[in-house]
Amino acid sequence: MLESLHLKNVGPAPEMEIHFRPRINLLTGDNGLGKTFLLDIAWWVLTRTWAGMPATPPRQGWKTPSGTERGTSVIQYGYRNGSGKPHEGESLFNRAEQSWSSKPAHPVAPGLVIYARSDGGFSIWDPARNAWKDRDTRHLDLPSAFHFGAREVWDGLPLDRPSKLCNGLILDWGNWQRENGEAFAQLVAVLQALSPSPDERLRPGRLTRIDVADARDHPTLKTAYGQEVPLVLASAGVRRIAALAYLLVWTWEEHRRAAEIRGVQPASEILFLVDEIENHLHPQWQRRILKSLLELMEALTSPGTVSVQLVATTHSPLILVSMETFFDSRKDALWGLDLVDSKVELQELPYIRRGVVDNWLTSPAIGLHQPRSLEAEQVLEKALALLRKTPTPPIREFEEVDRELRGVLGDIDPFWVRWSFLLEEMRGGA
Amino acid sequence: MRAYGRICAYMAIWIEEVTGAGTIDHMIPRAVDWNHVYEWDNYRLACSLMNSRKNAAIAVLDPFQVEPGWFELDLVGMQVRASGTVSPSIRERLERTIERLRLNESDCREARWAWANAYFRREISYAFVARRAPFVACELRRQGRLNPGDV
Repeated sequence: MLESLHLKNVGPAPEMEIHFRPRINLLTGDNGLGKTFLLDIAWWVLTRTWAGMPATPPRQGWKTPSGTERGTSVIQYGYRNGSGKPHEGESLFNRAEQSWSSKPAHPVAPGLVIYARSDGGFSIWDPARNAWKDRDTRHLDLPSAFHFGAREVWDGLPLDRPSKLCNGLILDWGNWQRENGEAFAQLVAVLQALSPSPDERLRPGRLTRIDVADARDHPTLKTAYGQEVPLVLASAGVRRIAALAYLLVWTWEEHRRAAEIRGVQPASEILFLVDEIENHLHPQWQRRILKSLLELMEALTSPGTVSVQLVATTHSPLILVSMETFFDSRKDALWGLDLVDSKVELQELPYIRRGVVDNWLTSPAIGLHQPRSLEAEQVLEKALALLRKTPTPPIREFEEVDRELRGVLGDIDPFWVRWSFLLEEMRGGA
Repeated sequence: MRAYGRICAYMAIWIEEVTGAGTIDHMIPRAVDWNHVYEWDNYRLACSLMNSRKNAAIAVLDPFQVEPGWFELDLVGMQVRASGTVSPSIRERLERTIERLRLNESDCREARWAWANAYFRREISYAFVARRAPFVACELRRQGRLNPGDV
């Protein structure tokens, strides 16, 4: 379990500190404040590989009260291994080498790590396949992590070599389905667990050819309207979830085999890092995805054997509202990255039941003033400012705002109730 | 049109005159098309929300046939419901109307709630509610929920 990150002189702020909870950690904040950056750092701390561009300290250094200064860049971290023992460590940035110091005994991840990136790619780290104490003597041609680009998930990793680390979804799914053995049963179970709703289950259909120039039998999904749609032609949301389902089954199967060969216990935890967890998903689906991910491992192994920790970024009020019934402050937390006086600040946000999505849109996690169009928000704020003024401004100012309101509000908007009453009284009194 | 005020025939709520893109011009009568003469929207004033649901409204109750007391308002959830005293055949039609027009969706309930709430908080007068949200006003009175001093 990842417990903490403490960054100094790296990333969008001079200093950032986060203490993760054991189950759900949601990161919110405007674009460009460092949500993905934190996922990249979390991934690096656990696996010692970079899933994207390596983090490098800003070249101009940080502004300090005494002027510009380039302090030492440090990544400190804390994690707990499978048996619950806490570990802490730190890595310093070596400016001459342009790299982060690392002890040879690393990486540190106590379990499986799956990073779903927002570009459709995935990175996977498996303690049974990617962790070797002595890199030089290992004879296996294994990378230090599996980095799948969006295409490699489907067509195999790596794309450009005949020997594959992973066959990719299209070949494996087809093989599993023909074998009709345990792997396929697991795939069906994982797909079901990740389905948008009980009446909209993701169920494999028959394999099919999609193109005379492609000799592969392609997986299909049964649709509610009776057709079987080749997966490569399915919606972006379905493809992202199907890719996750496939990679999870692949990872788990390969992990179990490797653990058996090496004579070690299979992992007892899995960490999901998910960038923009709502990506391409319909609101109905967004409301289920967090819980689905938490319960996902039960489709692969008996309940309670693998604990799940999730660190996800989101811009979606539906993801936020979806936790209201099962949020547990000992296990879950909501974090916000915000711009305060031109500085990026990371802080834990109170998680309360706000009831409706609108209230999440106007909460600090998203920060709209009104859950309306920008123009309606501006006019309403103007009306509210007018109502705050003392002594009450002359009626013509209200009439002016009234005209503007008519250009932005609906014809039975609740705001009219009090507003029209007030104006009627003012006109009557005039 | 003038005879009905600016009250939506389905929501029984005052329709404010709004302008700009996405609004409906309620004041221009449509050319009479005998194929469509039974569609409400040709001769019943509707707010844009109800207007957006008009297709679902074909062949449900004409609001002008609805008699006082057929519909009731649940003052907690702000839902409309068929009165306990109507005949089973009318109840069936009322319930179908509620369902087709989705009269108990949160947007409709919110709109009614805004009126009752402002009234309960004495931010608007009963006379104003009676003029602008007559069904809510009527139910407040029938269910004995008028603020002390109001008649």
